[in-house]
Amino acid sequence: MNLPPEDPAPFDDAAMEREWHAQEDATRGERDADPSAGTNRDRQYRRLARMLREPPAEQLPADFAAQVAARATATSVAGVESALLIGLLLALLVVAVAIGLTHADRWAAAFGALSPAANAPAGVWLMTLCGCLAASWVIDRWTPRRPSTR
Amino acid sequence: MGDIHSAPDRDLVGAVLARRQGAFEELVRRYQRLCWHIIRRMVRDPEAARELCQDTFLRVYQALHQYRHDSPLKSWIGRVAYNVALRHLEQKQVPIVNPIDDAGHRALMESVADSADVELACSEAEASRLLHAALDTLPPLQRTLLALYHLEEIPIPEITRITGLPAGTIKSHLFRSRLSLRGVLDALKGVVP
Repeated sequence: MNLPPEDPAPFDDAAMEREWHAQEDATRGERDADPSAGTNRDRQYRRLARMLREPPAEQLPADFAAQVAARATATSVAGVESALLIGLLLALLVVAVAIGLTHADRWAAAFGALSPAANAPAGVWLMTLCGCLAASWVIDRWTPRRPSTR
Repeated sequence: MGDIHSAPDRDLVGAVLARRQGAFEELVRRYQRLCWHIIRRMVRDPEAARELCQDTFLRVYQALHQYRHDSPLKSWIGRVAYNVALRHLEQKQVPIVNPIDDAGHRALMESVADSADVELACSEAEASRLLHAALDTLPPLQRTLLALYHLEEIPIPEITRITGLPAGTIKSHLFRSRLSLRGVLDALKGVVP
């Protein structure tokens, strides 16, 4: 975890204070000062200030702003679409639950009347069909398969 | 509102929020240099830096309605860029700074002599190459502070807004970085171009 460093004590040393001022004077005077003026330290700091003003060699692509703007717009549209979709799905769910609750007792009675008794002929055939489907599924699961040649 | 390219920041923000055509592209164009300089100095990999720049502006686009004009837009965007880069470095577990102490400053100062004239000893191009190589070895935070102060010419109170660091800490990092880079120039004594 990167924590910001503690605030150090201000320069309490005269030599450090002088060095700081030399740095700052060179930064401010770099453009106007006579290149040969001042001490060696002044010239070094002016040279340093000049080089620190040079931008990095590599830059962002020329169409960077257009690319980012297009992506931002696309993201924004996609966000609106997602919000709409979620809203519609929620509304559908609420309506479905409301209808289900309103008509639950009638539907339960209707389904109960439709389902055959277990000992009726239709019930026996239904149970047989379910058994066949289950057996087929189990056999399919346990049969070893040849590896695909593709 | 008139031409969006010459509009002040406040109007530009209003135009972006009103989804005016071309407004956000203009905002990006206006501040992509700042964003690039902050992130490129924090993150060494140029490809990652480009992606983080893009993430920064997408974040700006999503959060612009929260900008209250209580600081310059430049500082606000700079802070978003700084935080995006900081989070990236945290995820990569890259330390952003070396601890600072006065003893370290003094030792660095003593190691930098004030004697020979390096201007005559080393060509500008060679010195520039070595200085930029030395700049790359500095911790990410120091590189970023140098870029904000020297390249973007942002005053220290504004840098405190961008980085959230106290002014004393920023001064201390600038002091230390420049002193150590001056040490590089000093070491060039006698180098023949």
